[in-house]
Amino acid sequence: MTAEKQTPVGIEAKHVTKVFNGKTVLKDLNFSVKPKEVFVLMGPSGTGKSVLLRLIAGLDEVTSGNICINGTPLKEVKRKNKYVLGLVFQAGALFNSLSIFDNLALYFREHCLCSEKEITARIERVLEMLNLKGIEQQMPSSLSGGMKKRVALARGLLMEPDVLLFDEPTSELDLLTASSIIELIGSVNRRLGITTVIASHDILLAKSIGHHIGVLQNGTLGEIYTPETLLHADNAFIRNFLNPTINLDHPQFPSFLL
Amino acid sequence: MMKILEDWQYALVLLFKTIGELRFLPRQWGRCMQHACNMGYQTLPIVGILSLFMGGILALQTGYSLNKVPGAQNFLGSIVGLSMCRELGPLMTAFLLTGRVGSAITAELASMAVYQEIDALKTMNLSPVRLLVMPRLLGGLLMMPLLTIFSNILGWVGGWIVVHSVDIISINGSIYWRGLKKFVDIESINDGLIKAELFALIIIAVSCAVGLRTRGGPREIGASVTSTIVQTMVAILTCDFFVSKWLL
Ligand SMILES: Nc1ncnc2c1ncn2[C@@H]1O[C@H](COP(=O)(O)OP(=O)(O)OP(=O)(O)O)[C@@H](O)[C@H]1O
Ligand SMILES: [Mg+2]
Repeated sequence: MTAEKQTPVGIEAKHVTKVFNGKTVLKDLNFSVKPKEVFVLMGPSGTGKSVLLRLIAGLDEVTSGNICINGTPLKEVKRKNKYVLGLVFQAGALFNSLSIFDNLALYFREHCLCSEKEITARIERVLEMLNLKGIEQQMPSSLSGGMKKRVALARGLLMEPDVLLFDEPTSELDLLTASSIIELIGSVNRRLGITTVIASHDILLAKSIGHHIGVLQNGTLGEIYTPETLLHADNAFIRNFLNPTINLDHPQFPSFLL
Repeated sequence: MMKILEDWQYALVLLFKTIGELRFLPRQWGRCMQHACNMGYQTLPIVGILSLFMGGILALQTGYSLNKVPGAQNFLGSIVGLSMCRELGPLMTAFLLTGRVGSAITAELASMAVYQEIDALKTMNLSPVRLLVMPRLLGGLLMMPLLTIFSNILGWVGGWIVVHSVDIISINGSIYWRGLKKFVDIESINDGLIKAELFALIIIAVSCAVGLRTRGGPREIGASVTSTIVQTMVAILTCDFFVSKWLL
């Protein structure tokens, strides 16, 4: 609808390593995301999912290794602005000084993409889809965490980018809202063929819309699964991650906590 | 120390980048005016009050010192007039701009950086320099001369009030104004305004640079604000000395 779409975008990571002040967060990651597919990054909290998304978005630089977009290293592609990238941040990252409407309109206004009337129409449509009607004139600080998250999602979807990265799109949301968001992401991917990378612990999301799934564990990415193979993986860590058991008789905490 | 040098380097980078973004000025003009008005609105009252008293104190102190030399008080007008427009007006306006506007800019940009709003802008392919730095910089450059002139005038008036109403000063108001008019020329006022513009450039560039470079959390936002104020004050006085020497 907006800019004419170039060839669909594929992402390739080769030997990606990221070190923060001597602490290795990501170790020699290799994976590829084919054009138009949904790649889900799973893994326990603190394993570097958000870090990896920031690397793909070009916000941070890899310590070593390479990330390529359609075969061209990220740095060169970024310089030429050849593709549009959307990143939906974990905490939303809405512009606090702008109203919700201005937040959503900023991208179109600054890039002079369409008329004010069309912007309004689009924003109304997407807010309706996300069950957020009527909050256009509110400020971000007056929204709940889940609402901010959905507004951020709306901002990402409105851009209709070539690559969409989501950081935990369904955390903080109730199951019903979460599932409608999963549906939305899945159908947008299907309809527009936007290459999508999602960092999430949500197994429902991975199962229902992921084409390929990688599980980060201690900064490394093992095998890449499909929804079917993931559920029957014979890796003990993954089985425990997907189906943790709660055992009150033999808790793992030291006794002073109990 | 290293960090301060890096802040300064980044402030310079921001200035150059702003020049590069000037071609987008027409679209950002509204934002520039908005920032200019805000800055004026926030600083005008306090600049007025402080300048009034500064002029008054200047007249009082010099008037008292010159009391011993017969006839020297006739120069009171020129002393207050020149000191205000060449030095005190620009300097005081700059300090107040640092306190009211520079700190606010740093706090705002630092919180945008910490809460990933800057990153969000970047992913949307929108330049933070174009949207955030350029409007503030131009707003500051637009407002600073007006504030300085305002400060000069109120300083002169402050001096006049003291001359008029304090007994130890034996000259009357008309002698004060005559002396002031005779010695204060356009060139002196211009020199003051040149300095004022330089100060504004320093204040806004440094406060933007420090703000945008903030990493971490809420604590670092506070630290950045303090750092901006200290850095700009030092920079303003240093710059003031050398530029004054060059202009004299
Ligand atoms: N800027 C940074 N400086 C230093 N360490 C960092 C930085 N950003 C992330 N880390 C470290 O990288 C690790 C991974 O963080 P990340 O935010 O990617 O986790 P995550 O997988 O997204 O977790 P969650 O599911 O809780 O969001 C953490 O241990 C964190 O301490
Ligand atoms: Mg995360």
